[in-house]
Formats: sequence, structure tokens, C-alpha cells
Amino acid sequence: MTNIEPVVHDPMLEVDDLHVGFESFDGFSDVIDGVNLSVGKGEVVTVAGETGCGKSVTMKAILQLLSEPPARVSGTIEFDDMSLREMSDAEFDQIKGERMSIIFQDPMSSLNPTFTVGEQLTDTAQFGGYGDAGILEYTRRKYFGSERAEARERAIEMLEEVQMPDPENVMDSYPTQLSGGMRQRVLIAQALMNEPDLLIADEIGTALDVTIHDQILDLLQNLIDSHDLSVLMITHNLGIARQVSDRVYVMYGGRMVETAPTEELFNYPKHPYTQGLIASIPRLTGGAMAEGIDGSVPEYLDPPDGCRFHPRCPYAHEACVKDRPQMRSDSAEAGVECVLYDDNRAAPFDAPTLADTRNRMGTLEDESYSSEEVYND
Amino acid sequence: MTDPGEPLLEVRNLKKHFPVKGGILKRTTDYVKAVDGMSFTVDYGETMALIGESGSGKSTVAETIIGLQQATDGTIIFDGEDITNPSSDQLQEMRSRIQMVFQDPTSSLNPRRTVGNSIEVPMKSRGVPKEEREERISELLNLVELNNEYLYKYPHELSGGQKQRINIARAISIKPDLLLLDEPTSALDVSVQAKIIGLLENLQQELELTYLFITHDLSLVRNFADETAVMYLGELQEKGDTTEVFHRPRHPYSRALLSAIPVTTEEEESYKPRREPLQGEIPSPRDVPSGCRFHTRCPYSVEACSTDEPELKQVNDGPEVRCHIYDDTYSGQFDEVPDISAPDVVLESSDEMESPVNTTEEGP
Repeated sequence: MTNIEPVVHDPMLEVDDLHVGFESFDGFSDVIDGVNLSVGKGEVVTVAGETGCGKSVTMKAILQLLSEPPARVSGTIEFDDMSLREMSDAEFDQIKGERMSIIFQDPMSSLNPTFTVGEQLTDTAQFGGYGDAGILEYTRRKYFGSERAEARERAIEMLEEVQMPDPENVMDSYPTQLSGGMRQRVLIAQALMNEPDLLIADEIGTALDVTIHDQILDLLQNLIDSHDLSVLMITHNLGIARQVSDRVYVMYGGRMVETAPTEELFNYPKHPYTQGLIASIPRLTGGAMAEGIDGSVPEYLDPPDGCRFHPRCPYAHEACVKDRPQMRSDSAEAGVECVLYDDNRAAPFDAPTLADTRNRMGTLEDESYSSEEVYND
Repeated sequence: MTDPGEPLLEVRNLKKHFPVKGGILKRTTDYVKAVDGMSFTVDYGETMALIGESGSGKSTVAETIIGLQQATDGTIIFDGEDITNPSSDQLQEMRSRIQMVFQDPTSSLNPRRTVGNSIEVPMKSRGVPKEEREERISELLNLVELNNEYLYKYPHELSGGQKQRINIARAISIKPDLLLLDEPTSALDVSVQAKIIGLLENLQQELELTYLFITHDLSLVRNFADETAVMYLGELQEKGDTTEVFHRPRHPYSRALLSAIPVTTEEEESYKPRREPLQGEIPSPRDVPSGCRFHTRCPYSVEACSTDEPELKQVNDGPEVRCHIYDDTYSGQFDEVPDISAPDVVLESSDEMESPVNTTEEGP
């Protein structure tokens, strides 16, 4: 094992030592604590973790959507070898419009209810990447010349590509007239309108029903293949991560605790948190159901010392409280941040397997089940 | 009190139609048929799961049972007594025996009441004396694995999982027999969800509760429920023993639901039925398709499906299924039928272990 951060070859997006904190009345909350993340060209990467682990904050920091102050951001974010944090707003606007797209979580609130779907899509096609084009330029493009008609054609084409039933009609409807699944399709069409290189998807389809969700994921997968997209996806559902991505990052308490290629992560999870998460998912084949991870995600005003997972970890010992464990990687694409995998560890435990963790967490069949000590703190 | 194995709740041909008003005079122009002829029984001490997409009428069933909605037609029999559209006296009596836990743990707690006050409300309305109430509250907090420190906290100080525990404590405070659980864990993270399900299983054992569990998470049902009923557009499509429904899903809709779940192991992947993706979305309950309600999205549908309405019928001593494929009169017309042989996956002794709470076999 080496101490090098796992970094993919030829990255599209590279985040290095990202720190994000927020000033508030209660004090400074240290949310993102040194996150390293990379998305290779043509790679689909998922960030998974519970609610409150900093997934969305990471995404917002990458897209520079956090206002500073109250946020305090440091670290480097490189997109195709350009540093996003050092470029001007105009330059970044252009990248956001043309090379980077985002699909937000809630298909209901991400579309403007006062404009028709057609207007919103054509505007994206016409004005994406221009930042502030100025009122004259705006009027000219919007009301004169053939550009508007061309952009409309393009929007309809895009709606067809996302398999929207009856795209002509949808162009003239307002978002409220569409169902959740259709709105999600509109958002995907909008995101892919200007042929981006990198797509960021935040909990895509979580608000939808299973069958519709499944359709959307299928669609997304086809689009990723046909457009050769690099994707950074955020989800709390590990099943989705497994279905879609090439590589998975597991995030806990504002840190990436483990990363590995999808198959490796699900077959041989290393970090106790990853193991706990996987064990908590009820299985379709039935069988014993694990009891879940004790406690809840840390308070960022006063995060635990050392490893941030130690208060909930079944393998915690003194070494966990002292220092933050180092990221250990045994290949270019996999790494784990846990003292149990330290070369000169003094841990009283061997590296745990998924089955070990499942036993330690207890299963619901276990009669001697008790979790009182966690709540009586 | 009824004995184990006897039906505690019986719903017969339940219908709930919401009128749609239109025109200047606001006359009823149409009906939304949210629940359209549901019949099922929940046995004493068992867990019955009701699954389906949003808009299929799952929650309306629960709301009608507990009297939040007036039933349009049909009967609801609880412990031998007809409780359809109850009188206010009957409602008082009945609500102390049937309680509900709602989906969103935050909006179902009053933000201005402390935890203690919230839990006290049902007991107050039942006229439980004050000293008894106080004692009972700390007892309840212990039952849901919290403690007295939480008594004076407000909901905003608690996490989602803790709030849901409080909701459960409030629901069981007056010792009900039947709990209606309307997606109690869908707003929670998996690690917390596992804890809440564990709590519900323990409570069921300790307090001899009966659950009607409404959810769209099928893997959860597999681990928690004794019986499963699949609902689509206000009608039951398949109903039977959970293991059987999951092992050999027969109705094309159940198969589609099962194949759509994202799973985390290879073993589960091969357990899922062959991928039979659905076309389109659930139709509006205002404009229900003719014949079989599912035919517009069904990968197997033939002409007869759009004209003749199938009946809920028992298939080879297994679950009841509403589908022409399993009807001898129609079965010849199908080009393709689902392969319902059990998946050849070695299960981790799931048949014995998956229902630790209730081992009494329910009759067909």
C-alpha cells in the first residue's frame, strides 16, 4: 500500500484538498474537510453517503454556487487543466454554459413555472455560455432573425432524444402541466442542450416512482454512452450508484472515506462506514436484516477529533480518536481512509469484512439486541 | 380481543371516489376513482404491506380506514364491528384502537409542542389521568429507545429518526391494536431506516400489534411483511404471502416493480425477474383505462386486455392475481407469458428467517 491519493489518469475534473466552512452565529462549522476527488474523461463517478455528509456542498463548491462569506472555501478545483477558482466570472460563465451542466435534485422546483418549457429550452440553446449578453443582443436574438427558430428546432430535437412523448406539444406547455417523469426529462434535455463535457447530477430522479426512476436511469445511461459524457453523480442510494457508475466515492462527515471501482466497492467494501451502509440496505432476497448504524452524522460546529466516523464505528479504539487517518490506496483507483488499513497499525482488530460488520451491528433476528447505550449519552 | 390468525381488519369492496367540480355552478362533472373496489383482510398480529406507485391510492385506503376520508362504498370491519363512515362516538372508540404513523416525521409533529406534550395528546383525549400520563410517557420513551432527556425538547432539536420514534411513541401511547404505517421510513437514510424497522419489529412482538404497512420500497417489504398486496390505480393486482409474491411474481406489474429496484449485490440481481421495463406513466385515476387497468403499460397485453376486465383469482394455490394470463379462457391468446419459475438463487435460509415475528401461517 502507498500513501498516494488515488487519482485517475487524464482527469476531466480534479478537486484537490477542498475545504468548505460556514460562518454562523453559533461559530464556524467546518463542513468539507480536505476532499480530493477526480472524474476521468468519459468516466461516471458517484458520490454516495447519508444526508448531511456534505455531498451537495461539495457539488456547490465545484460550481461556485456558495456565496463567500458566509462560506469559506479553499483548495483547487481544476476542470480540464483550467483552475476554476482563479478564472474570472465571465470565463466561468462560459464554461458553465457550454462545457459543464447540472441537473438538480427536484424536477418540480428546478423549472420556472411562469415560462413554457419551450421558452426555457430555447433560451438555454441560444444564451447558454454567454453570461450577460446585454439587452440589445438579447432582444435581437430573441425576436429577430432565424436563430430563434433554429434554437427551437434544436430544443425539439433534444426532447426527442430524451424520449419525450409528443415533444411539439410539450414545448408549449408550462412545467405544471407535465408529470414528474416528464419534467425530469426536460431537465435532462436542458442540461445536454449545449453538448457539455461534464454533467453533474444531484440525486437524479429521487423524487420519482421506482418504475419511472428506472426509465430515467436507463435513459441517462444511454445518453452518457452516446454523448461520451463524464459524469459526477450524487446519490444516497447505493443501489443506483452500483447500477450507473464506474467508480464510487463514499463520503462521510465532509471527507471521502473510501473510493473504489464500483464492482470492487460492492464486493469488497473496506471502510466500516461503507460496510455499515451496505449492510443496512434491506435485501430483495430476504434473509437477516442488519440493524443499521448507531448514532447520526456529526455536528460540524464541533466535529469529532481524529476519524470523524469513530463515534459510530464498531471498531473504534484509541488510535481513531488521535489523528485523522491517512488515505491509503492499493491501486490508482481505490483508496480507504481508516486506521484499520494502516501498515503499522496498533489496532486490536483485523481488517473487517462485510460479514464481520454485519455481525457486529447485530441483526434483527438477534434476541439480545440492544442499542440503548447510543441514545443514553 | 381476537385470537392470532383471526382477521382483525376486513375491508370489503372499498371505494373512494373524489368528485371533480366544474362549470359555473360547480356541479360534479367527474370522479377521481382513487380506490375502486378493494377487498383484503389483515390478520391479528400480522404485517400486511400495501405497495404501488404514487397515485395508486395506497394512502387513501389508510385514510379511509381511520376515518379521515368518507368511504363512497363498501364496508370496513374492524374486530367484528362495522366502522365504515363512523359516528362520532364510534370514531372516539375506534381511534383509540387504530392509530397512524405518517410519512413525514417533521410535519406530523407540532413545532410548538415539546416531545412530552406531543405524546400526551392522544392520552388526554382518552381521559387518562395526569399522573398516569406522566408515567406512561417515560415508559413510552424507553420503548422507542429514547429517554427522559427528550421530554422537554422541541422537534427541531431532533434528527429525522428521533422524530419518527416520537411519532411512533405517540401512536402507541393509547395501546392500539392496529397501526397504519404510511411510508414511515421513506424520508430517512438507510442506516436510520434499518433502526426504525428494527424498532417496529420489536414493538410488534412486545405489544402484539398488527401493521398495515404502506410503502413503495419493495426490498423493505420483503424483510418486514408477512403478506403483500400490490395496488395499481385503486385496484389490487396481486395479493399473497410475501415470500411467494417475491419469489414468483405473477402479475406483470409486480414483475415490473421488482425488476426496477436498484440493488447492491449480484445475488439480488439474479433474483430479480427478467427486465420488463414499463412504458409511460401511471394514467390519471380520473380516466381509468378500459378492461385491465394496467394494459396501457403492460409488456404482455393483448387485445382482450383492453376490453375485458380481469378478476382477482387465486393462481395454483398461491397468491391472488388479477390478470388474464392466468385465466384459462384467455391464456391461449398471449404470445408470450412471464416465466414464473422460482429463481435458482440459493437464499440465505430466508424462508425461515424473513418473518421472525409471526410464524403462524395464514390460510388462503
